[in-house]
Amino acid sequence: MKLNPIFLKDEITSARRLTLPALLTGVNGGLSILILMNLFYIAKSAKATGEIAYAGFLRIYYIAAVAEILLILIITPALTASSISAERERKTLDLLLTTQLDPWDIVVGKLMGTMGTLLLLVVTSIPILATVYIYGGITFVQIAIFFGFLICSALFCASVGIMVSSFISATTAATAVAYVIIFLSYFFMLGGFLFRESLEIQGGRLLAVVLAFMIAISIFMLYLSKRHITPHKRRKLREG
Amino acid sequence: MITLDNVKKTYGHVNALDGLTMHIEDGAMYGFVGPNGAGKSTAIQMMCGLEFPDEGIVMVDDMEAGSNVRRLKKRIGYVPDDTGSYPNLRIIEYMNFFADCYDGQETKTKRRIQMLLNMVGLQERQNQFMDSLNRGGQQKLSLARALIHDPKILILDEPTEGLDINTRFEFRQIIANLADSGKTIVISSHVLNEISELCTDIGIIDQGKMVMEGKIEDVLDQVNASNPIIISIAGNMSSALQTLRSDKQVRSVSIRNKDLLISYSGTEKDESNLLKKLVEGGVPVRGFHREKGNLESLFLQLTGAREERRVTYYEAESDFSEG
Repeated sequence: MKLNPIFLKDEITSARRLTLPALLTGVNGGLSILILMNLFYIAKSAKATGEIAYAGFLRIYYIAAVAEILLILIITPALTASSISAERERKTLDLLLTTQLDPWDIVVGKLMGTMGTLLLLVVTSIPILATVYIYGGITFVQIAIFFGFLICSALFCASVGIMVSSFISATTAATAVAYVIIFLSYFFMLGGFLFRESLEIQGGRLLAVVLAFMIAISIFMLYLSKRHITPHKRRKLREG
Repeated sequence: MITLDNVKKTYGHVNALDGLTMHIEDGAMYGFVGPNGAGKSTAIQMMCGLEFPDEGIVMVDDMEAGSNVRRLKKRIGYVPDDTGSYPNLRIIEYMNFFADCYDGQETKTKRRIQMLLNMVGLQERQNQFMDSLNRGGQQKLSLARALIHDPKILILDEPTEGLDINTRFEFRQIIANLADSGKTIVISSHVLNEISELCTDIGIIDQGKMVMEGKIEDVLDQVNASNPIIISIAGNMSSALQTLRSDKQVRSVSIRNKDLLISYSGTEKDESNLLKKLVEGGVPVRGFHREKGNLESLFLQLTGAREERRVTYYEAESDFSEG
């Protein structure tokens, strides 16, 4: 089976830049420092009190999890907001559209490239988060749910970035709009989780709904991107 | 075969195309000429399926342009005025990438890429990065890219714009060879000499409308017919002027150096009769020929310089009457 040429091309060009290794080092380095600091704090308080606070290990998990989600939210728009607009600025989008590639292939190729980078980040951070698993306090299911949410977040943020990039030609403006959309979406999502009790919705059920919604809206945003880059007939305005 | 039928396109309040009709035969080398903003690029983008008309229809080989038919996309190769490059890709990677964008056998494609790079003189540089190429190199690579799927129709939008004379010449040779191989080539250019040397057919567009279209020889013949007859006379012109004044088909006479330029509406036979009359009237005629037309003068006539030309004539005529 032929791999998506856009994905292949983007992988070649991104492998030549320092962005990916710098990103991996920065993100995993940051997470490691965060966890080591927390372990240091637990060890220090154990020395002082003679008690090991196992709840502290769980705190590491929460801190690392939130940090990783925040990193995804911050990194993804920067990675995707130029995906289509850069092709337009370089005047290569028209060339791609005259080939036998379907506009879907272009959008999916861009998504695959970004998801590849984000999944690499997620996968390489597994050993760091797994340190919590050694001490106990969280179950395998919880880790799986967390990674599920992380992957859905990556898909959602990447889709927002690609959609904005296909609608807005200027990369800087596209990046700014993508950040606004993503942070507003997560603000309302967080609100939903905080007020779930007053809304009388079960946490697990709410999460399932949120994940399903994220996937559905991502597909819809990718469809809008495809539709926008496809040359199309202008609709005639009704006379009168 | 490419056909545009009464195509209209507006961008806001600007009429880019205003009922453009054109017809490009299979195997033709079609020169598409027009001043800046005449609508050439819009028409070309429509042929490539990158724009759609508001009204009218664009057909390429009996398929509507832009209908996203894979078969149609395989038939068209497009070289835009701005080549579009990926600076981080090597030349060979760029070619491989675009080859992957089409259906095709890998081994066959690899051979074709080498053949094309050889054709444009970039085979030796295939491992260099694209940003090491100058404008001429980029344009040649763009041409090789457009031919990667062996299209039947090649559409070039001002391909030699900004190229030095040597590269322009090389580029022209490559295009001429491609035309010999039977491809239909549409080339838009401001360089009218280039068009007249390369093309078999021509279309002149102005303000979104086709103002003249046809075989290049026919178009030039038309230009010739509207050009003045130049009569060179050895000695006094007064007897010649008298004879010319008496001929009803002489519309105006002007003097340029030692030659008489006459605007003449007669046929070729009338022209020979006029010459006979002059010679029989004792006028020492050294030369008698119609000024050869060129695309530049035709282009100027058709796209707005007509008024200027008339003024020149009146000035010449008044000089003549005063003398």
